[in-house]
Amino acid sequence: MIEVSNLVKRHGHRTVVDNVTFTAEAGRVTGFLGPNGAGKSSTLRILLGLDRATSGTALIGGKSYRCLNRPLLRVGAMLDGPGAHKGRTARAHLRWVAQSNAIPVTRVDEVLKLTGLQDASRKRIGAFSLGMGQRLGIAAALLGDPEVLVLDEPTNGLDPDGIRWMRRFLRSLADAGKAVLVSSHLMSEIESSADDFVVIARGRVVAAGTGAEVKGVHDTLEDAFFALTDDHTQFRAMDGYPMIDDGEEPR
Amino acid sequence: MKALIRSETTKLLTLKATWILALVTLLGTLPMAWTNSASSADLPADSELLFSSVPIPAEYQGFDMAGFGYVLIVTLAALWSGSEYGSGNQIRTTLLATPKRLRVFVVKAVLLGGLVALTGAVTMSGTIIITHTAMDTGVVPWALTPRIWAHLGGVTLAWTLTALITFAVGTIARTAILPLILIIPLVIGVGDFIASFWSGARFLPVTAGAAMYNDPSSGTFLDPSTGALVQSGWAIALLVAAGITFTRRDLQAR
Repeated sequence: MIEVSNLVKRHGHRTVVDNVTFTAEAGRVTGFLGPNGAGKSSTLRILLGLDRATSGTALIGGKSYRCLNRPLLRVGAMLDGPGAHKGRTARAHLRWVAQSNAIPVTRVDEVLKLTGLQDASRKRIGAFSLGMGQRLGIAAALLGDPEVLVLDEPTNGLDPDGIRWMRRFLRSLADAGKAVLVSSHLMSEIESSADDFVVIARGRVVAAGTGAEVKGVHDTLEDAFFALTDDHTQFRAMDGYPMIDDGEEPR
Repeated sequence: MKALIRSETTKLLTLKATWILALVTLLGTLPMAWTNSASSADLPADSELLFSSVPIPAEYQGFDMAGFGYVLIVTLAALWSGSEYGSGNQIRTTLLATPKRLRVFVVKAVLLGGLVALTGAVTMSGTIIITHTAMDTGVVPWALTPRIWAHLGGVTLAWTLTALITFAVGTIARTAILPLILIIPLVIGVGDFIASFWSGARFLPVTAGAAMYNDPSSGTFLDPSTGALVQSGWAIALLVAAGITFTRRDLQAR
């Protein structure tokens, strides 16, 4: 379904995506994991035709995104929030998105209901909470009832109830036969809902496969994740607050 | 293509600023045209009480009212280009929905041009009819002369081209702020002022366009057809530059 091969993206001398190769299959949730700045979003933007690759390919159903006609019928995507003008209502936003791909406007009400936003449909998006914004993004991604979903950190800003809803929702989409590619920087968040995992650090894939394959010799998937990405985190903090030890008794 | 036109039309018409700016352009200019022409109706054409004591020929009367709406139209165009960017980052959804970017750009420009042309034509025709009704100019208000119609076409074209120039600058800059800073001074007459002592300023985009509806005997402006050509040249060049930028740029480019 999703096929990324030898993908490279450079900004000047900096390589943000370095020869990334992986696939995401229909009927499965594929977790795309890595610390902040690992190249997850860059990879997804190239996959969705928003950025150009320096080399390599990223195909959906054998085609590049930019070649798709009415792409929302094939692929639903959410990157970094809903991508909506804050002055519009949720309904007006979804209406123009639906119209752009000749999707019947009746579908707008269906996706509002699916994501629990039916009561907020006439509210201006500027007044939405972070979590409502994420739900609106999911609603837009589902408009065309696509067979492929690409979601970049969809649980950002959701409350615990929202996170649980998202996990179940992703699962149900995969059970309905869709290919779901979902990125996260938290293994714990995605561990229970994903079938396959792709771990990326500093632009390179460091592990890929089923949970058991990625876990390897480690006790948990989370341990494996930290072991794999430990040397690659973008900002390294100290392990603890430094103690002042000058040998004197506290006064 | 039809789907894209529909969705971009919805976007344009569900933007509050579109309605406010277009309606204020129309409903603000018409009463001003009335008070402006009615208050000077009893004065002789060369009275010192008038803004200009050199009489303005009848076929140019009323076109000085274009300034108010012009500012609003430029604001509308700037907001239309800037609305895709800003904190909501709507452009991402736009390009996900329609990855064929050149089409998106062309449809946006055409819709804006159409809306501005319509607003300009209605506003300025109304203004001119009111002017000739309120003042004794010797022109029958409901039977305007061909030269007046030509000037009305000129002012509509000037507004439309300036709106497209503003849209192009806003698209390149990905913000409404830069085009406002660059174009508003020109439409409030900075270019015309500079042109009064430096003839090179006659080729500035807005000043060149002003030649299409201002009295050439003032000596400030190019002749009307050259003005139209120069302003069209600006608009085409900037639209091509903006179109290339829009189609080739990475969403995340910094």
